[in-house]
Amino acid sequence: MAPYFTEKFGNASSMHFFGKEAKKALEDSRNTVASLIGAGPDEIFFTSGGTEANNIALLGLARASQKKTLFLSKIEHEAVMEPCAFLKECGYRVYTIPVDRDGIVDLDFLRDRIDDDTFLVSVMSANNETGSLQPLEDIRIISDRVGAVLHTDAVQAVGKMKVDTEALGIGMLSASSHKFYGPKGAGFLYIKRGLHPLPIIFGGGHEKNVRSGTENVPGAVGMAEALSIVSRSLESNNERYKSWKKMIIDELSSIQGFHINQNPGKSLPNIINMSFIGINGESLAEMLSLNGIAVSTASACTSHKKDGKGYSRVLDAMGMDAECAGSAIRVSTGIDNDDDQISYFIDTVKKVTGQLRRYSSGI
Amino acid sequence: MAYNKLFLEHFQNPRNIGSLDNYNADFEAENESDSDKIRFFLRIEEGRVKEVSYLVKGCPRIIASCSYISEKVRGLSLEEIDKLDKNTLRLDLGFDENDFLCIDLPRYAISQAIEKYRKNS
Repeated sequence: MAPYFTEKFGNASSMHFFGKEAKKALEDSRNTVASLIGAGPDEIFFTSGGTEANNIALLGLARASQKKTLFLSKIEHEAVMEPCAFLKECGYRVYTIPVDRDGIVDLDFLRDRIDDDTFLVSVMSANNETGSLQPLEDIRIISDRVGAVLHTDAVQAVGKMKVDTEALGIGMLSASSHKFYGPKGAGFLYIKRGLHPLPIIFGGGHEKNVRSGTENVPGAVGMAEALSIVSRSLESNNERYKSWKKMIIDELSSIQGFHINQNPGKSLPNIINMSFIGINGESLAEMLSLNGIAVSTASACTSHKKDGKGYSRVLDAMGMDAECAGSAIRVSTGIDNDDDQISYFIDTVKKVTGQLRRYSSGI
Repeated sequence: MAYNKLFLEHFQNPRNIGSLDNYNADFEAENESDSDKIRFFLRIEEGRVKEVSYLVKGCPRIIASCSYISEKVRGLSLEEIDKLDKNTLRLDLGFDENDFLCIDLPRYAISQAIEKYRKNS
């Protein structure tokens, strides 16, 4: 990737030899990405990341379709929620599919409401907070019955599980490079041959007029290389993540108030979402951070949250009560972790939950 | 969010935490929407706060606020506590305006404990 920032600095759209060198790197990267997700190179469109890919998929397809109904799940990322909210403002009929306590979409809800006016169903491959894996094949079968396109936000899934667009028969798929250790500011949208979302960014007609704007050659090269590397070690990485997940759950389940907010068998192996009821999730995350451990929490004071809720809307959608959701943290393991770090994490959680529990002992 | 040094010191090493055996004023306050809960204990002698402690369940800012305010009120007269400015306390800890409740809750609990004490004495 680095040479494309310096000596190989050509614009991939230029005719001269610098441009041709950049263009070749871009197309080689496209071939690599395509081959790793069961797609053809003509089906890969480079973007600035997952958010842009989702916006092109949703808004672009809406522009191209005469139909006015679409479905999304209740646990989508804001990069899907917000474009859908915009479409609703524009007069589209938008259905939000609920999820069960494991965070899996209610197929009956979709089956009962989908109709011939539906042009799109957008359901993420794996949820960013709980890792819950969605039944994409079932959703695709339901969507096919009315000729609706299935789009999936696969930002969490690509690089973490085998993704085969051809086998899934999916219509569009969004991915983001930094989620699989590539550079930030790069991503791609897979668009099945025959689908033609209209542009939402107007300009020089780059990326076959799907995404105008000078191509980010270093980003594409870095992304393709990163995806290639993680794909080679996908199985061995997942075996490690699974064993760490089991170890963390086994060790921490003895802590008072422990609750696992996912079905470990129906979620990505690298994501663990858990609550320690009676302990504020933000305080726990901050304490861990001060001990050199980075975890996430969707819990924050209501005054800081756009929706006025002090906890995750994903956990809320799963029917979790405020107490449990407000004490949740999300742990993501990755390729740079090792057994010692997992043991340190477990020991530190035990220590700081005990400390926070003592602060409130008696109230 | 980025925290200042004073905040981090009080969050990592909260002062005066725990219950107080010989308290003569106390108050429990709750912010239901955030599941924050605190209880302040005061030992008031000759119109001054001789000892103070608290129990707290909540976000990092609530914990740090309880600790900082507990340090501030110890040794003060009840009248001096009445005059403590919430906004100054908020700015000392580097909180933005969204965090006003985090300062307000312990400040309110202490005021109510003093109010109770005044009524009973």
